[in-house]
Amino acid sequence: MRKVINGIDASPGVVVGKAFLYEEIKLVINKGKVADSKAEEEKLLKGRTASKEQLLVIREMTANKLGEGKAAIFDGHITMLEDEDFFDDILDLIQDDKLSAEYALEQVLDENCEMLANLEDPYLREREADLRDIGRRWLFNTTKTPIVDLGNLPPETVIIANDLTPSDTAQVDLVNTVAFVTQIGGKTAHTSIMARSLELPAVVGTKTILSEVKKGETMIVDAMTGEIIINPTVEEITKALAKKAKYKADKEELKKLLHKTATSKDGVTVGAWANIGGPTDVAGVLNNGADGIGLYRTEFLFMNSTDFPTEDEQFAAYKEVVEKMGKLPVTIRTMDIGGDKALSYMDLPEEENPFLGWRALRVCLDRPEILKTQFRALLRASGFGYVKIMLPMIISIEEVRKSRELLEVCMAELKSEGVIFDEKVQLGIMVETPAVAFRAKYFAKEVDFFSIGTNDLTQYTLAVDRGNEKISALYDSFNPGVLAAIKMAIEGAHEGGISISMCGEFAGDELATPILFGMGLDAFSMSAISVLGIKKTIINLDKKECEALVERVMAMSTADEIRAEIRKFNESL
Amino acid sequence: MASKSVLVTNETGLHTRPGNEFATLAKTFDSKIEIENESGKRVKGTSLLKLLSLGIKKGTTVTVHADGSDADVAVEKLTELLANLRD
Repeated sequence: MRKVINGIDASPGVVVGKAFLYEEIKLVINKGKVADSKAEEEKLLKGRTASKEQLLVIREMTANKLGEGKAAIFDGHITMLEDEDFFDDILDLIQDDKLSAEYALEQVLDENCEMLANLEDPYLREREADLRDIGRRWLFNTTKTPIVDLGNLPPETVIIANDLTPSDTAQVDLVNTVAFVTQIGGKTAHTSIMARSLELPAVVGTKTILSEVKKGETMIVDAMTGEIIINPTVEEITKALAKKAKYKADKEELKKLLHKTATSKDGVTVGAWANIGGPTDVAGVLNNGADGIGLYRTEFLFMNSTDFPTEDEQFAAYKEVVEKMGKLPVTIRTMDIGGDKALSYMDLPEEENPFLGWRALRVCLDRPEILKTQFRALLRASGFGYVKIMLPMIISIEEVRKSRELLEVCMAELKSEGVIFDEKVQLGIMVETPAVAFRAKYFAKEVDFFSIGTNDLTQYTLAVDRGNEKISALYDSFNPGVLAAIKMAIEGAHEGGISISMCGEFAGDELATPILFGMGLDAFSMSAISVLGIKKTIINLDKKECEALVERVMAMSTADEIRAEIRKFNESL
Repeated sequence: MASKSVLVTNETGLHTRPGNEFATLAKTFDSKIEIENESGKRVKGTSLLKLLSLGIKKGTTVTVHADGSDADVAVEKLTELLANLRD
């Protein structure tokens, strides 16, 4: 029966394959008393030996596939497996309480997992998943329950699981696996991260798929849209295969642009930058040929924490990103909390209009200690590469001056402490309110750079709440009013002698590229996966032609007319 | 019987890989090795799980205790390892 299931597109690609259900056989645990402790001890030991042998094989496979660095993780796993204290605790339960080997093992495992889960350090806390993984293997081997082998699969296999653990993905047969589909998890789950680094398409968060599909059924996994079709029609398969071929060809074509700059036919070069949320995103930035980071959203550092991150914690994250980027610019935005982003440990009041309320820099200027901690961390990181500091939600020159004063205080402090930092570090602002766009040239005299945040600029120019579904059709960055605000900001920046980039969704919208380029935008910053596409668009443009296009569209009255004009322009290329 | 305190300075603290190195080295001595964190929790130094349970992170001081024939050498070598942890 044909079925359609939707999930989250976690790693791009399109495939047609056969379902393989990775479901564990239920463990049977004997919870009764067992008189023969010696036999249980024997079972436990045999289970441990078998587990160690399996882990050694996985270690070798990992070393071959992903390198020695990743393989070393399994040395730690083996040490945990052979932990004497762990073994002695289990033995006590077997001998004193007459528990079965598996029941005793399960008890001690739970106890230790709980201990790890309660640790303060988030890194150590995550080791709980490792221990669970190791313990489960040991339990399966102790009870001689077969472990499903992912290392030997039929060709064109789509692995379907509730979730995939590190030891699952490490042993996956990469020759024959074409996609991962899981029931739980989001874009940052282990399965998703692994799928992206293996360049395997993946759809996660499908909730019920294990009960919807049978082993061996044909399925289309469209990890561009997150749609899965089980038992598709012949036409659907033909269409999916065509989409797959096109995706592959496009990807190959784009890869050629990795080391090319975004330079137009008439020789005008703009920056093709990426937006990130933290250090783990940097690999994606470099793999997609971005030549800078135009927006590092630091709020994740604040949101994934139980208290304000300390200066050292922030410094460590910023430094990691800056060092990995080498000489390339890293634009780091100060905390943008409030609006739709809350903090559990900060008492942000309920507001009638949170997007017009106490958010971002407004919070920081009222609570300067927050901004000061962040400035110090940013300055310290600036000693390790190319840092640009960016302030969000600006509406007045006073806010800029207050922030700069605070930055100068931090610089003086660090200097007296003998800390090395970039004394000429650039301070810039986001252009996301009409107030700044209208007066761009005056702001340009006070700061070193601009970056247009189109999500908020659109919302504030149009007075359309971008989270309100009822009016989502009104939210349109092609609205001539929004385009006029963007144009004003760009002209104001250049009049004031500073550069201007764009870091909102609009920067990655290929339909907007010709007009933004024609208006004179100096850099485009977007999701890493859009970078090569924008480079390709720019390479095919001519600045003079784009300028003429801008002149034409700015004389038009509606967003639809403007879109139609740009489409016509694109077709003529 | 010998003890020595040392400051842990690497970014991620005593996590799996360095913990493994510590436990492996601790097993090579005849002395009984214990490790203690700042709040006074003291565990066996040869158990990686027990080491992780101390939750040792960057900037905390730990004390290594050894009891046995090679106590002095053990304490020296183990604190040296802790002081030079890499991430």
